[in-house]
Amino acid sequence: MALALLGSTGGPGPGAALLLPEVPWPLPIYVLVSADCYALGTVGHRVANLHGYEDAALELQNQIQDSGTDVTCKGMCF
Amino acid sequence: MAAEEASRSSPRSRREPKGRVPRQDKYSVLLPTYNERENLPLIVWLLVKSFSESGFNYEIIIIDDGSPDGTRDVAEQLEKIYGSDRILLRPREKKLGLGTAYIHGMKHATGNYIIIMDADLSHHPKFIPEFIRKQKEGNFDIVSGTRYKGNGGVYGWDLKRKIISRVANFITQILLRPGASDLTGSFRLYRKEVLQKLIGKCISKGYVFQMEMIVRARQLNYTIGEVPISFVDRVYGESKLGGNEIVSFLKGLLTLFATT
Repeated sequence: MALALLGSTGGPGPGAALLLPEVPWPLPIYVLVSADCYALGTVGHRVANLHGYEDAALELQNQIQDSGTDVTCKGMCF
Repeated sequence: MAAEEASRSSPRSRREPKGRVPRQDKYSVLLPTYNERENLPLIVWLLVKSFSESGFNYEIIIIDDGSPDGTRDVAEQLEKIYGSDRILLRPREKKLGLGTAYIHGMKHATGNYIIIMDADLSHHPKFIPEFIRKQKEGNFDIVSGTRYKGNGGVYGWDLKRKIISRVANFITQILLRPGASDLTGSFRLYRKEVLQKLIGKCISKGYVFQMEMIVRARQLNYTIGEVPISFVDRVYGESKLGGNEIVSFLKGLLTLFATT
């Protein structure tokens, strides 16, 4: 916009406008939003794919019972 | 194959020189305990079962920090039942922290590999033969159990807990780039000399201590392998995570980021 005003008031001319780069003001916002989307997507995917080991807990509960019997037979006093 | 790796090539990895008969490996399991009267007989039974079935030479070193619930008495009974060559009780007078517990345990360890794990049944000894196999396969300096890769997983976490854990792990991966998927896990196998060196360099406590061990290992170019494990966080009931723990974790993470 600043460059357009400069050109319309008869400033340095269109050649100078071509030399000066446009200020990429949307870029930081774009990067921030993209990074947030990536983070949310990654965390969401990883939460969804975190295995819940109900069978591991059941196996452990059974082994707790077996071990209690075995160590008691070996002389353990709880 | 269920086991996956996160390794770097390392000039420090030891290999047996040609022509020499390798001495038998021995695995020392360090079990720091505090108020584990109920769980200790069970975890020792599972360890003995796992090692007996796999045929590896082992010892279990119990480091009790003056538990008021009688954990030491239980450990003494276990020493008599299984033999003092298999169960070594090396107690301390009071709680002095995990790092010093490992140092204390290693002084008495006769094995050339050290396995650290929790005594509250959250880590199942059935994965130890997998750890050993993985270590031999890649000649790794460290093998770490991971809940976040391959078939790894947890039991006892609600959705909120899972989200917190995954967000924490995500932030950790971004800030520290550790080369391992599970930094806060404490179920690991180390070469004895590697653990001694790392403990000497670590200053953090709690969750962050385990993270710092992996970060320092990466700095020293030690190789790290990973084995997926199932983590049963409380066999009965659900795990709770307090606000204080989250805050101290974040503080520790930022300190590690700034200092490593």
